This record gives sequence, C-alpha cells and structure tokens, in this order.
Amino acid sequence: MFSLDPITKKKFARFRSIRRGWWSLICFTLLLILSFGAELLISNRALFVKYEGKFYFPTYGSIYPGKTFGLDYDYETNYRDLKKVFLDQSSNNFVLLPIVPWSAYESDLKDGQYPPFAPSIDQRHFLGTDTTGRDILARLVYGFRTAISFSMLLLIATYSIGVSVGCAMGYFGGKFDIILQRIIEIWSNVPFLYVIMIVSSIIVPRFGILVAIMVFFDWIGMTWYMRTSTYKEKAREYTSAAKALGASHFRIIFNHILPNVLSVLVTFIPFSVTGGIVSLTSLDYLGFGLPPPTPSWGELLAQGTANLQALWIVTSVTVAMIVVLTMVTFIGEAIREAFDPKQYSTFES
Amino acid sequence: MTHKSNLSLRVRLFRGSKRFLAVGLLAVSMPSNLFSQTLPANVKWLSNDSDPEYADLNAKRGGTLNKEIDSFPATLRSLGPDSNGAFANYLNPLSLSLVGVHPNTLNIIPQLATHWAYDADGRTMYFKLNPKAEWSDGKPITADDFVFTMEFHKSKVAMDPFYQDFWKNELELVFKIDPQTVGVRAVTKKPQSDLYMKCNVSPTPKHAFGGKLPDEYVQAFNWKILPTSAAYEISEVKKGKYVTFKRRKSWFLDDARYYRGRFNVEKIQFDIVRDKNVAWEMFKKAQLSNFFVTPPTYWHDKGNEDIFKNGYVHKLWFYTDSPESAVGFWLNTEHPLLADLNIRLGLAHSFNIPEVINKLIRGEYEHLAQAFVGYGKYTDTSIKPRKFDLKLADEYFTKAGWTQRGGDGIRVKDGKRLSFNISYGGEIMNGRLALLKEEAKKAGVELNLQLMDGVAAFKLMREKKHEIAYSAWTTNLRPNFHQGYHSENAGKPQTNNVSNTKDPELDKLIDKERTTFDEPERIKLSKEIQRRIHDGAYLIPSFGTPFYRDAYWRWFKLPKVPGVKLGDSSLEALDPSQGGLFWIDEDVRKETLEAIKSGKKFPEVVIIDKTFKANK
Repeated sequence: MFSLDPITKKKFARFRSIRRGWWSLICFTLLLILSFGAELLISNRALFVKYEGKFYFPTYGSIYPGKTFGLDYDYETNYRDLKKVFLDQSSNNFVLLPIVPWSAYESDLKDGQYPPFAPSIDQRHFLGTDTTGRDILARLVYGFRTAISFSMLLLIATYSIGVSVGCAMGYFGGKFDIILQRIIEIWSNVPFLYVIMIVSSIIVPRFGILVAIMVFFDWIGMTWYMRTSTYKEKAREYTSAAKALGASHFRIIFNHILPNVLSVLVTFIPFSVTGGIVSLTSLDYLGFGLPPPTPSWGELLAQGTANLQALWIVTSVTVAMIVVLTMVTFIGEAIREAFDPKQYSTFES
Repeated sequence: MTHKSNLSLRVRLFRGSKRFLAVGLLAVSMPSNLFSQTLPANVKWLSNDSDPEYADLNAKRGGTLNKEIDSFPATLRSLGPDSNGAFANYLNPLSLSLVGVHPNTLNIIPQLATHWAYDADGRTMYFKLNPKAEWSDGKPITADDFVFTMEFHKSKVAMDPFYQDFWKNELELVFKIDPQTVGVRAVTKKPQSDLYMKCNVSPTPKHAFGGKLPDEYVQAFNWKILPTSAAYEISEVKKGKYVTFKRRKSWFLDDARYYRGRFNVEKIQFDIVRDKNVAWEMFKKAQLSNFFVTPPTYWHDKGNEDIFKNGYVHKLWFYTDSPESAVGFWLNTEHPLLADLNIRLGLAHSFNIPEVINKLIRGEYEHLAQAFVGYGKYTDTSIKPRKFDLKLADEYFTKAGWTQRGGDGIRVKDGKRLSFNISYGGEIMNGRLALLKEEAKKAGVELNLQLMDGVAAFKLMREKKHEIAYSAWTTNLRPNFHQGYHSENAGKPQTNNVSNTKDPELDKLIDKERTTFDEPERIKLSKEIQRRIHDGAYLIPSFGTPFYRDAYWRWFKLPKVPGVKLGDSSLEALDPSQGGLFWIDEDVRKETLEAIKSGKKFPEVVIIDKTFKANK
C-alpha cells in the first residue's frame, strides 16, 4: 500500500543513525524470535531422540508416552530421566535435550531440601527456581512471550478502534464529533482498574478476556490524537481533490488521510508496547491477571518481593523488565527522532 | 485460616454462614414472666470442681498486650448488620456463657453458672447462677438478663436473620425460675453430651438498654460500649486507629477454680495494621507482642532473623488435638462426569497430596484422611487417606470408560476430555495446586485452576456452580453430617451440601444419628456415616495442621504446659474457656530492652511441646 518514498527512506536512515535505538531494535527482534521459538531452547521435551534405530522429534505436537521408549508409564516421557537410562544402558539410543531442560510448569523438587533453589549450572537452573521449584529462566522467557503477545494484540485492537473512531471524528466533525467526544469523556472516567478487579474476581480472566477488557478501556487514548491530526489534514487541498473526484469517505480516511498522519501513530507504538507489558505485569502482580499457573512476570515479581531471602527471583525478573522496557523505550525515542518534522524544514527569513 | 472451634466459639462459628440464610421470620416477643416456671422436683444439680487447672497460679498481673487487626471494626454491636466481621472474634469473648468447656478434658466447667441440671424431657437444662456474678458496671447478672438475650436475638430491631433463624430452629425458650436460676429449652431432644452446647446462652445487660429493646438499635448502638461479664471491658475506641480493652479491677471469677491465674495483662491494644509485611516489621520492633509463624516460610526462613537467634523472641510449636477443619477438594456430583463414583475415586488417586506436603511444605502438615478428623471417639480412625496411585487411578478411569489418551496425554472419550475446573480463593494455594495439576497429568487428568476472590469462590460453591471447589470448613465439637451430606440439602443453592450428595442409605443413617440419644450408639452411627461418606469419595481431603506455631517476645511467660488441647494461639487473651494463660514479667522486659540496646544476647529458645499430640 505504502511504497518507500524518499522521505520514508530518509526517516529510516535517520533511525539507523541513532545507534542505541537501532541496536535495541535488533536485540528486541532477536528476543522476540527467540521467545517464539523458545521450545527449542527451553523445554522439558527433548529436541531429538534416537531409540531402537528410530528417530523422534518430540518438541512440537503430540506427546510420546513413556512406553514408546521402553519405560513403564503412560504419561509423557521424562526425557531427562530417559537420557540417564540411555547412558546407563550404553546403547546406541540417544537423547538430545535443550539447553534448559525444564518447562515453565514442572516443579523440580528434592528430598530434604525445599524450594526456592538458588541458581545452579549443574542442575541447569541458570536463574534458580521459584517457590514451587519451577525454573525461573523458563518462566521468564515464556512469560515474556505471553506479555509481548498480549501487548501486540492489545496494540492492534486498540489502534484499529482508536484510529478509526478518531479519524471519523476529525473527518466528519460537527454533531458526530461533539457527541462522540462526550461519550469518550464519560467512558474515560470509568475506573478501569476496579472494573478489571471486579471482573477477574467473578470470572477467571483467560487471555482473550483480559485483552478484551483492556481494549474496552484503552482505545480511547488514541482517538484524541487522531481526531486533531485528521482535522488538520481534512482542510488540505488533496482531501478536497479526492472528494471532488468522488472518493468515498472510507477511501479518503484510510487511503488519503491516514498515511499522512501515520507519523503520529508510529511514534506512539513503542510506548503502547511498554504500556501493555506493564499493565499485564501489574495485573498479574496484584493477582488479577492471567490464571495460575500461567508463567508471568507479575507473578514472579510478587513471589520475589514476598521472598526477599531468595534474591535471585526478584533480581531476575526486575533485570529482565528493566532491559526489555529500556530497549523498547530506546526504539521509541529513535522513531520519534526519525519522524521529527523539524529535521526537514528549513526556516528562511 | 479457619477457626478451631470450642464451645464458647460455637455460636460465633455458626455465624460464618449467616449471611446466606433467608430472612422470613416474625419475631416472637412476649413478656418474660409468661415463661416463669418451677423446677421439677427431682432435679439433680451437677458441677465440676475436680478437673485439673491449666493456668499458672503464680502469674503476675499487669502490662500491655499489643495485637494487630487488619481493618477497623465496622461496629461494636454484637448483633445486626456488619456485626460478623473479624473483630467479632475479640468482642464475643467479652460476654461469658452459662458454662464453659475445659480445654483439656473437654468436660463442662462452671462459668456464669455454678451448677447445671438436665430435665427428663431430654431438651431442657437448668442453671444456677453464680451469686457473685456482676456486670463490669457493678450491676448483678440475673436470670432476667438471659431472658432478655432471647427477646433480643429474636427481635426484628436487631436485623439479624441468622440469629432469628437460630432461635427458631435450635432454641425454643429461655425462662426465669427465680433471679438466680435459669432454664433453657432446645427445640429437639439431644443427648446430654450435646444438649449443653445448644443451651449455653450468654446474658445481655438488660439495664444498659433501659429495660427494653430500642427500635433504633442498629443505629444507636453502633459505637455504644456495653458492660461486659468477662475479665475485660472496652476502654477506648479511636476510630480508624485502635481499640483498647482494660482488665476489670475485680472480677467475680478472679479466685474461682479454672479462672485463677488467668487474664493477667492490664491492657490489650488492637492497632490497625493493614499489611502483613508491615505487621512483621512492627513485631520485630516489639510493637506487637506475638506473630503467628505456622507457615513454613515464617517458621524456618523468616524465623531465623537476629531477634530469634539472640533469644529476644521465643518460638513455640504447640501440638493441639481438636477437630480438624475439613479442608480439601469438594466434587460436585451434579457435574455429569463427577456423578460417576469411579471417576471420583480415580481423581482421589490422581491428587498427589503427599508430594505437596513432603516437598513443598516440609512434611509438617498432615494428610487428612477424611472430613471428620480430631473428634475424639467420634472419629473413625480406621479411615486412611487415599494414596496417589497411578495404577489404581487407571483402574477406576478404565472402569468408567476413559481408556484413551489424547495427543497431550489427557484422557479422552467420545470427543470429550477428562478435564475439570478447580475453583479456589487464596493465592497461597497457587504453587501447591500447580504441582497437583502437573502430577494429575500423569494420570491423564487435566485440572484447570480458577483463582478467584475468596468471597466469589465461596459464592460459586454455595450456588453449586463449581466442578471441584477447594475450601475449608469450620468445625464444631461434634461432627455434623446433616448440613453437609443429607439429600435434603442437595441440589439447591445456599446449603452446605456442596458435593450435592444424594445417597438414600446415607440419609437413613444421618436421620437415625440425629435422633439417637444413646452416646455409644451415636458414636457407632457416626463412624458408619463417615465410612459411607469416605466410600462415596465426595471430598478429596488435603492437609491439616494439628498444631500452631507462635513467636512472642521473651517477657511473655506461659504456664508449664504452654497451651491447651483445644488451643489456637499462645497469647490468646480473651477466650473465657482457654484464653489469658500468659503473663508479662516486667523485669525481663526491662532486661531485654536494655540487652537489645547494649547488644547482649540470650540463648535461642525454641519450644516444641507434644503434650497433646494425637499420634505421638
């Protein structure tokens, strides 16, 4: 739809020239990719099993019950134990485990010792375990995936609604604008946190429901900015030209006005992403977020602050949060800088 | 946590569910002289002055006990709206009852009454009041005050449907025989060992109400301080900040057997501390006298700080032997899958509760065998907890037809998954349930955790909309089967039969048990019922704590046996039957405060007392 015009190219070059923003973007993208392929790095399922001349790839798809590999149970194979069994048999059978051979859900419990366990390279708990004996690194990574998916979904939904409504308000103006403004003002006074607390204490807030509730309140923010920008663009000649040519309202808003107010939108995106992550984390922290035992940063943070004697819990999650939020903020800052119109305007007297 | 129950707590415990009772009763209020009656000729007065005393007679008087409450009480009334808040636990013990229960022998002991007698009709009791009994304002406590209690509780002005209902269904009448003698009649016949629990009424100071019930009671008495019959009275109320109780200078039971050497502190101050972590910090600065350290994290991890190591604070682990609160997973038998006994049994064998106890909570809690543990001779101790056993679970699930497993290892049948929702309130269970969930997967069962607000989880269960509900129930001194397992209470909301148990055989047994007066026969029936309930697998019991753990500053002194069989705290200050056993040694207090300043240390003190441990 939008081909790269010279100005966009310039903006991109400008963005690349802001080093910390550019590197943050690279790291963040890498993190994203890694987290979506996390099963290959952090999982209780083996990457690859060779048993009696057959090959198995258990990472994705259905489970292999223990009986598949000559063990005596019907539930999912414990590949860590299987590896030991194969080593003892010194046969040709072979198990390749991921770097962290723990899932985010299973507890690693011991006799005579009680979780949380401190970080240990031997046990492959690189960041230790939480109070239930679950691997913190696994919960951090899978928690990040949940948080970022939540944030992205929230972003797409709130922006679609917010931008459409905001543009429509600016474009149509008049009574439509005034009435919607009042509705939004009333809407924005609904105490959002209380609503979430009430809803999540009555029903169990699954992922979709939580996104829906957040969207319900979050779309308002974007409308004001889009409304003002659209007002401005609407008065421009190209809009009148499009109108004169008989373009539909829809076409004018989305094909003509929207690309011109995109810079406003783009600068907001990174901050909305951090906003989404922080919202989910705080809701989880307060116990109103996703149902347990979903891995989540907020839940880890709550555990960490309640168990300050196990410093590795709170340290891991705090550092992870600071790193991710700082990176996103750097990206946002660089985008804002790149889209700054002052860069291209010259003032002559 | 749940309450351990005893006689004086009894009515209070009933109140836990009062908000769920329907209103719909006209109060009966008649002049009290109408009920004046005479004593039967052959009445045999009983008393008890031979049980051992449990306080230390050398205890010293004086000092202040500092306790925390997490919110300011909404009212000081004992009846009506908002009167059932947490602070009721401190207000209710300010009024004594006719008799008490010895917290170690469980025999009846005198309280306001010195003697008691049973009528031949099996539902009436007579009580002779202590002639010295007086209210904290010096007025004598007479039979009229007890009759007034009945009028008061039945009255509409109190706006308390729970008590209206209680007095309609449980107690028929309180009547005056002479100013020092009271009769109480229950609605139905009960064996003597149970009748006294029903008839144990507290007096209400009639003179403080001007002799009659004010119509505007609920508004006018919100913050009114009434005279008390117990050793303490309310002395100061600073709204939003604190409430203080002070010791009566002379109390009519000061020299009485079982009450000597008790209720020693001069003042009890309740400060509002809204956050548990703040309370812990305050305790460490001696701004609070004691702190419950029953949870393993407190006893082991937080309980290793310097104040403990330097001997400034003592730790006590005290084993009790009282009815265990029925805690566990209640299966709703109206759920199509849970209606099948084989599935319930399979589930019971898929819950790895020993793993939770041994690996997460240090093996200190006890795997409960059934819902009625700790009722002494009424408990069928031959019932053992169901073990986590994948073979047995598989057998039962196979019998129910669930043999296939899906791609994720969960059993499937006709396109349905063997999956259940567990609703619960209380984040402390998150980790424990997460472990159970992972373990249950091995048996091919999926458990979805539904963490809810405590009140919402309770509501869901009481409306019978749950599948599996995790919950704990308070106890009485005797097992009560009717409310939880009789089909009369099944299939309708707001009853305690949360498993919707409908078993005609069980109904017969329960009905028989309710109308049997002979104690040995009752015990036999009680055990039969427990066995039948166990066989029905309506509940997967989790764990109980047959002990409490308390940490307190070293100037608090306790008797040689530092607690009682039915106890729930070492610095319990108020309970008429078991509280107030401790005292403050002022010299030790000064010594300790100076030691903290100068850095002097004392030996660390950890007391583990197993005097009353059930299975030593």
